[in-house]
Amino acid sequence: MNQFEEGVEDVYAAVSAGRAVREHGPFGIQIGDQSMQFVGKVVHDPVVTGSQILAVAGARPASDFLVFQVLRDGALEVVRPEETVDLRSAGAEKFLVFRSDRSFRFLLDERAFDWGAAHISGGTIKRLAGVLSETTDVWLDAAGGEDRVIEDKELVDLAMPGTERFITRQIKITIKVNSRPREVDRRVLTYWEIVKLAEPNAVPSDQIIYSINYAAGPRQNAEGTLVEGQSVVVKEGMKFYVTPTDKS
Amino acid sequence: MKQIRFRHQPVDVIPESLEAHVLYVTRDGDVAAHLCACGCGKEVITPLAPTDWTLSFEKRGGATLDPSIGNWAFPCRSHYFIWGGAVVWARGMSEKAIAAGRSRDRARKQKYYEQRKSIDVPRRSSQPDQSSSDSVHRLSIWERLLTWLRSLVT
Ligand SMILES: [Zn+2]
Repeated sequence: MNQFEEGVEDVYAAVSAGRAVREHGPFGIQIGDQSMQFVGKVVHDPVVTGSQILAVAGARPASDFLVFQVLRDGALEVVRPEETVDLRSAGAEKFLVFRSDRSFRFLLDERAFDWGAAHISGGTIKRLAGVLSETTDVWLDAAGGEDRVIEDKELVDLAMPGTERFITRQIKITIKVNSRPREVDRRVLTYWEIVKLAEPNAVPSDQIIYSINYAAGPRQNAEGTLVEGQSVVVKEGMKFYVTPTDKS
Repeated sequence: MKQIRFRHQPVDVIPESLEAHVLYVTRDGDVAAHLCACGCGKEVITPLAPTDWTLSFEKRGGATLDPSIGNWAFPCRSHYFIWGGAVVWARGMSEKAIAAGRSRDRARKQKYYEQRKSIDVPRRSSQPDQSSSDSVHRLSIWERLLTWLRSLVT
């Protein structure tokens, strides 16, 4: 991602660092295209319209393009030309500008949807389906190919030949906690959620510290140890070892 | 106190409810479990890993868990060794010593996993890992040790 000149408030950097976005401009925002290549652009007002974003993106004629705001959960929300976005509010640091000269039809849980852009994110599909993001997966049912899960922030190209077919499914993953199978309904589990799979009545206390080790996890956290406040991405068959017992 | 002995029992999965005086060990050799030797009925889980406990067997068949088992988290606060299947009671420890032990343990685990990361083989494709598509399986020293342990248990 681009660095901005001195004096420009980098909205993405501020949000990533968890600090409040400055009150006054100029603001540096990220604008992506169909291929998800983001470039830094500078705007002066803290409140921008869809038209202003199209203008700084160099999208002409503006009527051929759509602006989407990339929300925290990966969902895309259309920003119409006259609509405004406050850059000082969280999650307003990234936009996508898509050429939209036609609409794209896809099937979601056997219902037909028409989408104004060539790409759609997993998060947006979940929103359209009205399902809970944490406990539901979106699968792309590839004709003749292998079905695969679409991540919330992943974009699917709807312009590929054929009609894309998406299916939402409740997440059901069986992990092993101290060798015992435990079924969970989400991909990300916190320290305490895992402790409770081992010891349902466990409550935070100074005297009892549960140590958690894990192995056979997904690549982002294949193995390691987990302490209070941390969470971990789980996968089928992942192994957890939870114990309050100390060694001397 | 009278002599308490543990009989070891290989299992695929640690049962949900345990019997007294049985040391359950998974055939994968990754975790052992028993009911607290004091008789309080609390379940004691001992992961078997380089940063946790090691299980070995005496020629005559008794299991040894190393290091000791410090149940400071239980009301009984019992502390004992299992050596050759027999329980050997150990002394209590001060709060300070327990806290020091815990932070030492955390530091050791952190270091262990950091070292393993740094000697890791180059990662596969850049795609996010989904479900059970483990195509490459490395045999670490630990896994070789496990194979050896397993051969003893079964
Ligand atoms: Zn006890």
